[in-house]
Amino acid sequence: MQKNTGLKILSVSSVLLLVAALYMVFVYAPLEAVMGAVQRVFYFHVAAGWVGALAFFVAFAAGLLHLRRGSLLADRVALCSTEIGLVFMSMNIVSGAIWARPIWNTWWTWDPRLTTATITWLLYAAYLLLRQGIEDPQRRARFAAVYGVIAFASVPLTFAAIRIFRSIHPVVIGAGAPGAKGSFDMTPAMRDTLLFSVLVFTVLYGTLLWHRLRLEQLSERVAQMRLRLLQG
Amino acid sequence: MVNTAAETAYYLWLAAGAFGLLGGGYLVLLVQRWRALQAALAGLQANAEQQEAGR
Amino acid sequence: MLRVIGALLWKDLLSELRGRALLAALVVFALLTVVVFNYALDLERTVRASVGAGVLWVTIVFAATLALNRVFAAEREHALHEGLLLAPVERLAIYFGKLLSGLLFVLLVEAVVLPVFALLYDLPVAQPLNLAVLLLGTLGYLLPGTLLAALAAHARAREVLLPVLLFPVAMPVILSAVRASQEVLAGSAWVRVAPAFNLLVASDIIFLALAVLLFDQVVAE
Repeated sequence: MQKNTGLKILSVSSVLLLVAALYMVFVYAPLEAVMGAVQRVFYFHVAAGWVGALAFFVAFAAGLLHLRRGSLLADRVALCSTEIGLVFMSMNIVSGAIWARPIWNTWWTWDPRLTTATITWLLYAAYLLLRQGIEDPQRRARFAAVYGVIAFASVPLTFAAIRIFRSIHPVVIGAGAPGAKGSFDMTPAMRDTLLFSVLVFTVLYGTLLWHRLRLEQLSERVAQMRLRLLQG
Repeated sequence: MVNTAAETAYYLWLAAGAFGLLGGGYLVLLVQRWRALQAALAGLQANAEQQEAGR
Repeated sequence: MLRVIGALLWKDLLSELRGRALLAALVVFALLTVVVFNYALDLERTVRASVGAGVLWVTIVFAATLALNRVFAAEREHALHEGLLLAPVERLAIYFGKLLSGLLFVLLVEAVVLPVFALLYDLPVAQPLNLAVLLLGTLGYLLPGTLLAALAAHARAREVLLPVLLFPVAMPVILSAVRASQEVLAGSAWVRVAPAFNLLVASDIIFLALAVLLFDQVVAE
Protein backbone atom coordinates (compact mmCIF):
# COMPACT_ATOMS: atom_id res chain seq x y z
CA MET A 1 0.00 0.00 0.00
CA GLN A 2 1.30 3.42 -0.92
CA LYS A 3 2.10 5.96 1.74
CA ASN A 4 -0.74 8.36 2.28
CA THR A 5 0.36 11.73 3.64
CA GLY A 6 -3.12 13.23 3.67
CA LEU A 7 -4.38 10.48 5.92
CA LYS A 8 -1.31 10.74 8.14
CA ILE A 9 -1.85 14.46 8.68
CA LEU A 10 -5.51 13.87 9.39
CA SER A 11 -4.76 11.11 11.87
CA VAL A 12 -2.23 13.15 13.80
CA SER A 13 -4.49 16.19 13.93
CA SER A 14 -7.39 14.01 15.12
CA VAL A 15 -5.32 12.79 18.04
CA LEU A 16 -4.26 16.36 18.89
CA LEU A 17 -7.85 17.55 18.65
CA LEU A 18 -8.97 14.72 20.90
CA VAL A 19 -6.40 15.72 23.52
CA ALA A 20 -7.62 19.33 23.31
CA ALA A 21 -11.22 18.18 23.69
CA LEU A 22 -10.29 16.11 26.74
CA TYR A 23 -8.62 19.18 28.23
CA MET A 24 -11.77 21.24 27.63
CA VAL A 25 -14.05 18.58 29.10
CA PHE A 26 -12.01 17.94 32.23
CA VAL A 27 -10.42 21.34 32.91
CA TYR A 28 -11.92 24.18 30.90
CA ALA A 29 -15.61 23.37 31.44
CA PRO A 30 -16.82 24.38 34.90
CA LEU A 31 -18.08 21.87 37.44
CA GLU A 32 -21.86 21.61 37.25
CA ALA A 33 -23.32 22.57 40.62
CA VAL A 34 -26.06 19.97 41.08
CA MET A 35 -24.77 16.89 39.31
CA GLY A 36 -21.09 17.30 40.01
CA ALA A 37 -18.29 15.66 38.06
CA VAL A 38 -20.45 13.07 36.30
CA GLN A 39 -22.03 15.85 34.22
CA ARG A 40 -18.77 15.93 32.22
CA VAL A 41 -19.90 12.69 30.58
CA PHE A 42 -22.45 14.79 28.73
CA TYR A 43 -20.03 16.36 26.21
CA PHE A 44 -18.69 13.14 24.69
CA HIS A 45 -22.04 11.44 25.17
CA VAL A 46 -23.77 13.95 22.91
CA ALA A 47 -20.85 14.00 20.47
CA ALA A 48 -20.90 10.20 20.15
CA GLY A 49 -24.65 10.22 19.57
CA TRP A 50 -24.24 12.86 16.89
CA VAL A 51 -21.56 10.83 15.11
CA GLY A 52 -23.75 7.72 15.31
CA ALA A 53 -26.62 9.55 13.63
CA LEU A 54 -24.27 11.10 11.05
CA ALA A 55 -22.67 7.76 10.25
CA PHE A 56 -26.03 6.06 9.74
CA PHE A 57 -27.16 8.92 7.54
CA VAL A 58 -24.01 8.60 5.44
CA ALA A 59 -24.64 4.85 5.15
CA PHE A 60 -28.21 5.57 4.03
CA ALA A 61 -27.11 8.11 1.42
CA ALA A 62 -24.36 5.80 0.18
CA GLY A 63 -26.87 2.97 -0.08
CA LEU A 64 -29.16 5.13 -2.20
CA LEU A 65 -26.23 6.08 -4.38
CA HIS A 66 -25.38 2.42 -4.83
CA LEU A 67 -28.96 1.61 -5.84
CA ARG A 68 -28.99 4.42 -8.41
CA ARG A 69 -25.55 4.03 -9.91
CA GLY A 70 -24.37 0.60 -8.82
CA SER A 71 -21.23 2.17 -7.40
CA LEU A 72 -19.21 -0.36 -5.41
CA LEU A 73 -17.33 2.42 -3.65
CA ALA A 74 -20.67 3.68 -2.30
CA ASP A 75 -21.40 0.22 -0.96
CA ARG A 76 -18.03 0.11 0.75
CA VAL A 77 -18.70 3.50 2.33
CA ALA A 78 -22.07 2.25 3.57
CA LEU A 79 -20.49 -0.78 5.24
CA CYS A 80 -17.64 1.14 6.84
CA SER A 81 -19.83 4.01 7.99
CA THR A 82 -22.32 1.63 9.58
CA GLU A 83 -19.62 -0.20 11.48
CA ILE A 84 -18.16 3.03 12.84
CA GLY A 85 -21.65 4.31 13.62
CA LEU A 86 -22.30 1.22 15.71
CA VAL A 87 -19.16 1.81 17.74
CA PHE A 88 -20.13 5.42 18.47
CA MET A 89 -23.74 4.48 19.15
CA SER A 90 -22.50 1.94 21.69
CA MET A 91 -20.45 4.69 23.37
CA ASN A 92 -23.51 6.91 23.43
CA ILE A 93 -25.78 4.28 24.98
CA VAL A 94 -23.28 2.98 27.53
CA SER A 95 -22.14 6.43 28.66
CA GLY A 96 -25.78 7.50 28.93
CA ALA A 97 -26.58 4.55 31.16
CA ILE A 98 -23.58 5.29 33.37
CA TRP A 99 -24.63 8.93 33.69
CA ALA A 100 -28.21 7.91 34.45
CA ARG A 101 -27.22 5.67 37.39
CA PRO A 102 -26.35 8.52 39.79
CA ILE A 103 -28.71 11.10 38.24
CA TRP A 104 -31.90 9.15 37.55
CA ASN A 105 -31.09 6.50 40.13
CA THR A 106 -31.32 3.75 37.53
CA TRP A 107 -29.17 2.45 34.68
CA TRP A 108 -32.08 2.37 32.33
CA THR A 109 -35.51 3.85 31.71
CA TRP A 110 -37.69 3.17 28.68
CA ASP A 111 -37.49 6.80 27.66
CA PRO A 112 -38.12 7.58 23.93
CA ARG A 113 -34.57 8.65 23.20
CA LEU A 114 -32.93 5.74 24.98
CA THR A 115 -35.23 3.23 23.40
CA THR A 116 -34.91 4.71 19.92
CA ALA A 117 -31.13 4.72 20.21
CA THR A 118 -31.17 1.07 21.23
CA ILE A 119 -33.53 -0.01 18.46
CA THR A 120 -31.37 1.90 15.99
CA TRP A 121 -28.34 0.03 17.30
CA LEU A 122 -30.16 -3.27 16.78
CA LEU A 123 -31.21 -2.25 13.27
CA TYR A 124 -27.65 -1.65 12.18
CA ALA A 125 -26.36 -4.74 13.94
CA ALA A 126 -28.95 -6.62 11.84
CA TYR A 127 -27.60 -4.80 8.78
CA LEU A 128 -24.13 -6.21 9.41
CA LEU A 129 -25.57 -9.70 10.00
CA LEU A 130 -27.41 -9.51 6.68
CA ARG A 131 -24.18 -8.60 4.90
CA GLN A 132 -22.39 -11.47 6.55
CA GLY A 133 -25.04 -13.91 5.38
CA ILE A 134 -24.76 -13.21 1.65
CA GLU A 135 -21.87 -14.54 -0.45
CA ASP A 136 -22.28 -12.84 -3.82
CA PRO A 137 -20.77 -9.31 -3.60
CA GLN A 138 -23.19 -7.71 -6.07
CA ARG A 139 -26.23 -9.11 -4.36
CA ARG A 140 -24.81 -8.35 -0.92
CA ALA A 141 -24.36 -4.70 -1.88
CA ARG A 142 -27.85 -4.43 -3.35
CA PHE A 143 -29.62 -6.16 -0.45
CA ALA A 144 -27.66 -4.19 2.12
CA ALA A 145 -28.62 -0.93 0.43
CA VAL A 146 -32.30 -1.95 0.37
CA TYR A 147 -32.20 -2.83 4.06
CA GLY A 148 -30.31 0.37 4.85
CA VAL A 149 -33.05 2.47 3.26
CA ILE A 150 -35.86 0.66 5.11
CA ALA A 151 -33.97 0.77 8.39
CA PHE A 152 -33.29 4.48 8.12
CA ALA A 153 -36.92 5.23 7.28
CA SER A 154 -38.22 3.25 10.24
CA VAL A 155 -36.21 5.13 12.89
CA PRO A 156 -38.35 8.32 13.02
CA LEU A 157 -41.50 6.18 12.99
CA THR A 158 -40.20 4.20 15.95
CA PHE A 159 -39.44 7.40 17.83
CA ALA A 160 -42.98 8.65 17.19
CA ALA A 161 -44.47 5.31 18.28
CA ILE A 162 -42.54 5.26 21.55
CA ARG A 163 -43.58 8.82 22.27
CA ILE A 164 -47.23 7.90 21.87
CA PHE A 165 -46.67 4.97 24.18
CA ARG A 166 -44.95 6.95 26.87
CA SER A 167 -46.88 10.19 26.79
CA ILE A 168 -49.81 8.24 28.20
CA HIS A 169 -47.93 5.81 30.39
CA PRO A 170 -46.22 7.44 33.35
CA VAL A 171 -42.57 6.61 33.88
CA VAL A 172 -42.58 4.52 37.00
CA ILE A 173 -38.93 4.18 37.85
CA GLY A 174 -37.06 7.33 38.81
CA ALA A 175 -38.77 10.22 40.51
CA GLY A 176 -40.73 12.30 38.01
CA ALA A 177 -40.19 12.78 34.31
CA PRO A 178 -36.68 11.75 33.28
CA GLY A 179 -36.39 14.71 30.92
CA ALA A 180 -36.68 17.11 33.79
CA LYS A 181 -34.26 15.35 36.06
CA GLY A 182 -30.69 16.02 35.11
CA SER A 183 -31.35 18.98 32.87
CA PHE A 184 -29.28 22.08 33.51
CA ASP A 185 -28.48 25.50 32.08
CA MET A 186 -25.30 25.59 30.07
CA THR A 187 -22.78 28.30 30.76
CA PRO A 188 -20.92 29.71 27.72
CA ALA A 189 -17.86 27.61 28.63
CA MET A 190 -20.00 24.49 28.71
CA ARG A 191 -21.54 25.33 25.35
CA ASP A 192 -18.09 25.88 23.80
CA THR A 193 -16.92 22.56 25.19
CA LEU A 194 -19.94 20.77 23.75
CA LEU A 195 -19.56 22.35 20.31
CA PHE A 196 -15.86 21.60 20.27
CA SER A 197 -16.44 17.99 21.31
CA VAL A 198 -18.97 17.53 18.53
CA LEU A 199 -16.52 19.01 16.04
CA VAL A 200 -13.67 16.80 17.24
CA PHE A 201 -15.81 13.66 17.11
CA THR A 202 -16.89 14.54 13.58
CA VAL A 203 -13.26 14.83 12.50
CA LEU A 204 -12.55 11.57 14.31
CA TYR A 205 -15.34 9.94 12.36
CA GLY A 206 -13.87 11.14 9.07
CA THR A 207 -10.45 9.81 9.99
CA LEU A 208 -11.80 6.44 11.08
CA LEU A 209 -13.91 6.17 7.94
CA TRP A 210 -10.88 6.80 5.78
CA HIS A 211 -8.81 4.17 7.61
CA ARG A 212 -11.67 1.70 7.53
CA LEU A 213 -12.14 2.23 3.78
CA ARG A 214 -8.46 1.49 3.18
CA LEU A 215 -8.82 -1.68 5.22
CA GLU A 216 -11.79 -2.71 3.08
CA GLN A 217 -9.81 -2.01 -0.10
CA LEU A 218 -6.97 -4.16 1.15
CA SER A 219 -9.36 -6.93 2.05
CA GLU A 220 -10.85 -6.84 -1.44
CA ARG A 221 -7.37 -6.93 -2.98
CA VAL A 222 -6.53 -10.02 -0.95
CA ALA A 223 -9.79 -11.68 -1.96
CA GLN A 224 -9.16 -10.94 -5.64
CA MET A 225 -5.62 -12.22 -5.48
CA ARG A 226 -6.75 -15.42 -3.80
CA LEU A 227 -9.28 -15.94 -6.55
CA ARG A 228 -6.68 -15.35 -9.28
CA LEU A 229 -4.29 -17.82 -7.67
CA LEU A 230 -6.99 -20.46 -7.48
CA GLN A 231 -7.87 -20.00 -11.11
CA GLY A 232 -4.27 -19.62 -12.34
CA MET B 1 -31.03 12.56 45.89
CA VAL B 2 -27.61 13.92 46.70
CA ASN B 3 -24.46 12.31 45.45
CA THR B 4 -21.14 12.83 47.13
CA ALA B 5 -18.29 14.21 45.07
CA ALA B 6 -16.47 10.89 45.24
CA GLU B 7 -19.52 9.05 44.01
CA THR B 8 -20.12 11.25 41.00
CA ALA B 9 -16.41 11.22 40.13
CA TYR B 10 -16.55 7.41 40.25
CA TYR B 11 -19.27 7.35 37.59
CA LEU B 12 -17.37 9.88 35.49
CA TRP B 13 -14.33 7.59 35.44
CA LEU B 14 -16.53 4.60 34.77
CA ALA B 15 -17.89 6.40 31.69
CA ALA B 16 -14.41 7.42 30.62
CA GLY B 17 -13.38 3.79 30.89
CA ALA B 18 -16.33 2.74 28.75
CA PHE B 19 -15.40 5.26 26.07
CA GLY B 20 -11.80 4.09 26.15
CA LEU B 21 -12.73 0.42 26.04
CA LEU B 22 -15.11 0.78 23.11
CA GLY B 23 -12.99 3.20 21.07
CA GLY B 24 -9.71 1.54 21.92
CA GLY B 25 -11.15 -1.90 21.37
CA TYR B 26 -12.34 -0.94 17.92
CA LEU B 27 -8.94 0.51 17.04
CA VAL B 28 -7.16 -2.65 18.20
CA LEU B 29 -9.58 -4.71 16.12
CA LEU B 30 -8.85 -2.60 13.04
CA VAL B 31 -5.10 -2.90 13.50
CA GLN B 32 -5.37 -6.66 13.96
CA ARG B 33 -7.44 -7.01 10.81
CA TRP B 34 -4.98 -4.84 8.91
CA ARG B 35 -2.02 -6.95 10.03
CA ALA B 36 -3.77 -10.21 9.20
CA LEU B 37 -4.59 -8.93 5.72
CA GLN B 38 -1.02 -7.73 5.14
CA ALA B 39 0.28 -11.14 6.13
CA ALA B 40 -2.22 -12.86 3.85
CA LEU B 41 -1.24 -10.55 1.00
CA ALA B 42 2.46 -11.27 1.47
CA GLY B 43 1.77 -15.00 1.51
CA LEU B 44 -0.29 -14.78 -1.66
CA GLN B 45 2.36 -12.73 -3.41
CA ALA B 46 5.05 -15.26 -2.54
CA ASN B 47 2.74 -17.97 -3.80
CA ALA B 48 2.16 -16.15 -7.08
CA GLU B 49 5.88 -15.72 -7.65
CA GLN B 50 6.42 -19.42 -7.06
CA GLN B 51 3.77 -20.21 -9.62
CA GLU B 52 5.42 -17.82 -12.07
CA ALA B 53 8.79 -19.51 -11.53
CA GLY B 54 7.34 -22.98 -11.90
CA ARG B 55 5.92 -22.16 -15.29
CA MET C 1 -50.89 -7.48 -13.20
CA LEU C 2 -54.01 -8.33 -11.22
CA ARG C 3 -54.32 -11.63 -13.07
CA VAL C 4 -50.76 -12.50 -12.19
CA ILE C 5 -51.29 -11.66 -8.53
CA GLY C 6 -54.41 -13.78 -8.53
CA ALA C 7 -52.58 -16.69 -10.14
CA LEU C 8 -49.77 -16.54 -7.58
CA LEU C 9 -52.26 -16.42 -4.74
CA TRP C 10 -54.10 -19.40 -6.21
CA LYS C 11 -50.84 -21.35 -6.55
CA ASP C 12 -49.99 -20.83 -2.87
CA LEU C 13 -53.49 -21.81 -1.81
CA LEU C 14 -53.42 -24.94 -3.93
CA SER C 15 -50.11 -26.07 -2.53
CA GLU C 16 -51.52 -25.49 0.96
CA LEU C 17 -54.57 -27.58 0.12
CA ARG C 18 -52.31 -30.30 -1.26
CA GLY C 19 -50.99 -30.80 2.22
CA ARG C 20 -48.27 -28.37 3.12
CA ALA C 21 -50.27 -28.03 6.33
CA LEU C 22 -48.75 -24.67 7.13
CA LEU C 23 -52.04 -23.21 8.23
CA ALA C 24 -52.80 -25.95 10.75
CA ALA C 25 -49.33 -25.64 12.26
CA LEU C 26 -49.65 -21.86 12.52
CA VAL C 27 -53.02 -22.08 14.26
CA VAL C 28 -51.82 -24.61 16.81
CA PHE C 29 -48.68 -22.61 17.43
CA ALA C 30 -50.66 -19.41 17.96
CA LEU C 31 -53.03 -21.12 20.40
CA LEU C 32 -50.09 -22.51 22.33
CA THR C 33 -48.57 -19.04 22.53
CA VAL C 34 -51.79 -17.64 24.00
CA VAL C 35 -51.86 -20.38 26.65
CA VAL C 36 -48.17 -20.05 27.52
CA PHE C 37 -48.47 -16.30 27.97
CA ASN C 38 -51.36 -16.70 30.37
CA TYR C 39 -49.08 -18.58 32.76
CA ALA C 40 -45.80 -16.86 31.94
CA LEU C 41 -47.33 -13.50 32.82
CA ASP C 42 -49.56 -14.95 35.53
CA LEU C 43 -52.49 -13.01 34.14
CA GLU C 44 -55.17 -12.30 36.63
CA ARG C 45 -58.47 -10.71 35.83
CA THR C 46 -57.48 -7.17 36.73
CA VAL C 47 -54.39 -6.90 34.55
CA ARG C 48 -55.81 -8.78 31.59
CA ALA C 49 -57.26 -5.70 29.88
CA SER C 50 -53.93 -3.87 29.79
CA VAL C 51 -51.70 -6.85 29.06
CA GLY C 52 -54.11 -8.71 26.78
CA ALA C 53 -53.45 -6.50 23.76
CA GLY C 54 -49.74 -7.19 24.10
CA VAL C 55 -50.30 -10.94 24.33
CA LEU C 56 -52.52 -10.87 21.27
CA TRP C 57 -49.99 -8.93 19.22
CA VAL C 58 -46.98 -10.98 20.22
CA THR C 59 -48.96 -14.06 19.22
CA ILE C 60 -49.79 -12.56 15.84
CA VAL C 61 -46.24 -11.39 15.27
CA PHE C 62 -44.82 -14.83 16.08
CA ALA C 63 -47.28 -16.58 13.79
CA ALA C 64 -46.71 -14.04 11.02
CA THR C 65 -42.93 -14.49 11.28
CA LEU C 66 -43.29 -18.24 10.89
CA ALA C 67 -45.59 -17.71 7.92
CA LEU C 68 -43.11 -15.30 6.34
CA ASN C 69 -40.31 -17.81 6.70
CA ARG C 70 -42.34 -20.18 4.57
CA VAL C 71 -43.37 -17.60 1.98
CA PHE C 72 -40.34 -18.00 -0.23
CA ALA C 73 -39.33 -21.40 1.10
CA ALA C 74 -41.52 -23.40 -1.26
CA GLU C 75 -40.07 -21.52 -4.21
CA ARG C 76 -36.57 -22.27 -3.10
CA GLU C 77 -37.16 -25.94 -2.41
CA HIS C 78 -38.66 -26.55 -5.80
CA ALA C 79 -36.35 -24.16 -7.63
CA LEU C 80 -39.44 -22.31 -8.71
CA HIS C 81 -37.94 -18.96 -7.84
CA GLU C 82 -35.87 -18.82 -11.00
CA GLY C 83 -38.87 -19.95 -12.99
CA LEU C 84 -40.96 -17.14 -11.57
CA LEU C 85 -38.31 -14.59 -12.46
CA LEU C 86 -37.89 -15.94 -15.97
CA ALA C 87 -41.59 -15.75 -16.59
CA PRO C 88 -42.50 -12.38 -18.07
CA VAL C 89 -44.23 -11.31 -14.89
CA GLU C 90 -44.09 -7.85 -13.54
CA ARG C 91 -41.81 -8.15 -10.55
CA LEU C 92 -44.12 -6.18 -8.31
CA ALA C 93 -46.79 -8.77 -9.00
CA ILE C 94 -44.58 -11.33 -7.23
CA TYR C 95 -44.38 -9.04 -4.23
CA PHE C 96 -48.11 -8.43 -4.06
CA GLY C 97 -48.92 -12.07 -4.70
CA LYS C 98 -46.71 -13.11 -1.79
CA LEU C 99 -47.98 -10.28 0.39
CA LEU C 100 -51.59 -11.25 -0.17
CA SER C 101 -51.08 -14.96 0.37
CA GLY C 102 -49.20 -14.15 3.60
CA LEU C 103 -51.98 -11.81 4.65
CA LEU C 104 -54.62 -14.40 3.89
CA PHE C 105 -52.84 -17.05 5.96
CA VAL C 106 -52.28 -14.82 8.96
CA LEU C 107 -55.84 -13.48 8.85
CA LEU C 108 -57.13 -17.05 8.80
CA VAL C 109 -54.99 -17.81 11.84
CA GLU C 110 -56.40 -14.72 13.55
CA ALA C 111 -59.92 -15.79 12.67
CA VAL C 112 -59.39 -18.98 14.70
CA VAL C 113 -57.30 -17.51 17.49
CA LEU C 114 -59.39 -14.42 18.14
CA PRO C 115 -62.55 -16.18 19.42
CA VAL C 116 -60.47 -18.48 21.58
CA PHE C 117 -58.52 -15.51 22.89
CA ALA C 118 -61.74 -13.63 23.63
CA LEU C 119 -63.05 -16.65 25.49
CA LEU C 120 -59.92 -17.38 27.52
CA TYR C 121 -59.05 -13.77 28.36
CA ASP C 122 -62.60 -12.47 28.56
CA LEU C 123 -61.87 -9.40 26.45
CA PRO C 124 -64.15 -7.65 23.90
CA VAL C 125 -61.88 -8.20 20.89
CA ALA C 126 -64.60 -8.36 18.24
CA GLN C 127 -65.23 -4.61 18.00
CA PRO C 128 -65.07 -3.14 14.49
CA LEU C 129 -62.33 -0.72 15.51
CA ASN C 130 -60.19 -3.48 16.99
CA LEU C 131 -60.70 -5.57 13.86
CA ALA C 132 -59.53 -2.61 11.80
CA VAL C 133 -56.44 -2.33 14.01
CA LEU C 134 -55.80 -6.04 13.58
CA LEU C 135 -56.04 -5.79 9.80
CA LEU C 136 -53.84 -2.68 9.57
CA GLY C 137 -51.30 -4.04 12.05
CA THR C 138 -51.04 -7.41 10.33
CA LEU C 139 -50.68 -5.68 6.99
CA GLY C 140 -48.10 -3.28 8.44
CA TYR C 141 -46.04 -6.20 9.70
CA LEU C 142 -46.25 -8.13 6.44
CA LEU C 143 -45.47 -5.16 4.17
CA PRO C 144 -41.81 -4.88 5.23
CA GLY C 145 -41.88 -8.56 6.20
CA THR C 146 -42.50 -9.86 2.69
CA LEU C 147 -39.74 -7.64 1.31
CA LEU C 148 -37.26 -8.71 3.99
CA ALA C 149 -38.22 -12.36 3.59
CA ALA C 150 -37.15 -12.04 -0.04
CA LEU C 151 -33.81 -10.64 1.18
CA ALA C 152 -33.33 -13.32 3.82
CA ALA C 153 -34.23 -16.07 1.36
CA HIS C 154 -30.80 -15.63 -0.24
CA ALA C 155 -28.82 -15.52 3.00
CA ARG C 156 -27.31 -18.13 5.25
CA ALA C 157 -29.25 -18.94 8.45
CA ARG C 158 -32.29 -17.31 6.89
CA GLU C 159 -34.85 -18.59 9.39
CA VAL C 160 -33.05 -16.81 12.21
CA LEU C 161 -32.06 -13.82 10.12
CA LEU C 162 -35.60 -12.85 9.15
CA PRO C 163 -36.86 -11.93 12.63
CA VAL C 164 -33.54 -10.24 13.41
CA LEU C 165 -34.01 -8.05 10.33
CA LEU C 166 -37.72 -7.56 10.68
CA PHE C 167 -38.37 -6.93 14.40
CA PRO C 168 -36.51 -3.63 14.68
CA VAL C 169 -37.89 -2.41 11.34
CA ALA C 170 -41.47 -3.31 12.26
CA MET C 171 -41.17 -1.77 15.72
CA PRO C 172 -43.36 1.27 14.92
CA VAL C 173 -46.10 -1.01 13.58
CA ILE C 174 -46.00 -3.35 16.57
CA LEU C 175 -45.92 -0.53 19.12
CA SER C 176 -48.72 1.51 17.58
CA ALA C 177 -50.86 -1.58 17.03
CA VAL C 178 -50.46 -2.71 20.64
CA ARG C 179 -51.20 0.79 21.87
CA ALA C 180 -54.31 1.14 19.69
CA SER C 181 -55.62 -2.29 20.72
CA GLN C 182 -55.01 -1.50 24.38
CA GLU C 183 -57.08 1.65 24.17
CA VAL C 184 -59.87 -0.03 22.20
CA LEU C 185 -60.03 -2.99 24.59
CA ALA C 186 -60.11 -0.62 27.54
CA GLY C 187 -63.13 1.07 25.96
CA SER C 188 -61.43 4.44 25.51
CA ALA C 189 -62.86 7.23 23.38
CA TRP C 190 -61.57 7.75 19.82
CA VAL C 191 -59.31 10.66 20.85
CA ARG C 192 -57.28 8.24 22.95
CA VAL C 193 -57.07 5.70 20.15
CA ALA C 194 -56.39 8.20 17.37
CA PRO C 195 -52.65 8.94 17.83
CA ALA C 196 -51.64 5.28 17.71
CA PHE C 197 -54.17 4.48 14.99
CA ASN C 198 -52.99 7.32 12.77
CA LEU C 199 -49.37 6.36 13.22
CA LEU C 200 -50.26 2.79 12.29
CA VAL C 201 -51.88 4.01 9.07
CA ALA C 202 -48.90 6.26 8.33
CA SER C 203 -46.46 3.38 8.90
CA ASP C 204 -48.46 1.16 6.56
CA ILE C 205 -48.37 3.79 3.83
CA ILE C 206 -44.65 4.41 4.22
CA PHE C 207 -43.75 0.72 4.20
CA LEU C 208 -45.99 0.17 1.18
CA ALA C 209 -44.26 2.98 -0.70
CA LEU C 210 -40.81 1.65 0.25
CA ALA C 211 -41.70 -1.87 -0.85
CA VAL C 212 -42.99 -0.66 -4.21
CA LEU C 213 -39.84 1.38 -4.75
CA LEU C 214 -37.36 -1.24 -3.57
CA PHE C 215 -38.70 -4.67 -4.50
CA ASP C 216 -37.35 -4.37 -8.03
CA GLN C 217 -33.85 -4.22 -6.55
CA VAL C 218 -34.41 -7.40 -4.56
CA VAL C 219 -35.27 -9.57 -7.53
CA ALA C 220 -32.99 -7.88 -10.08
CA GLU C 221 -30.54 -10.34 -11.57
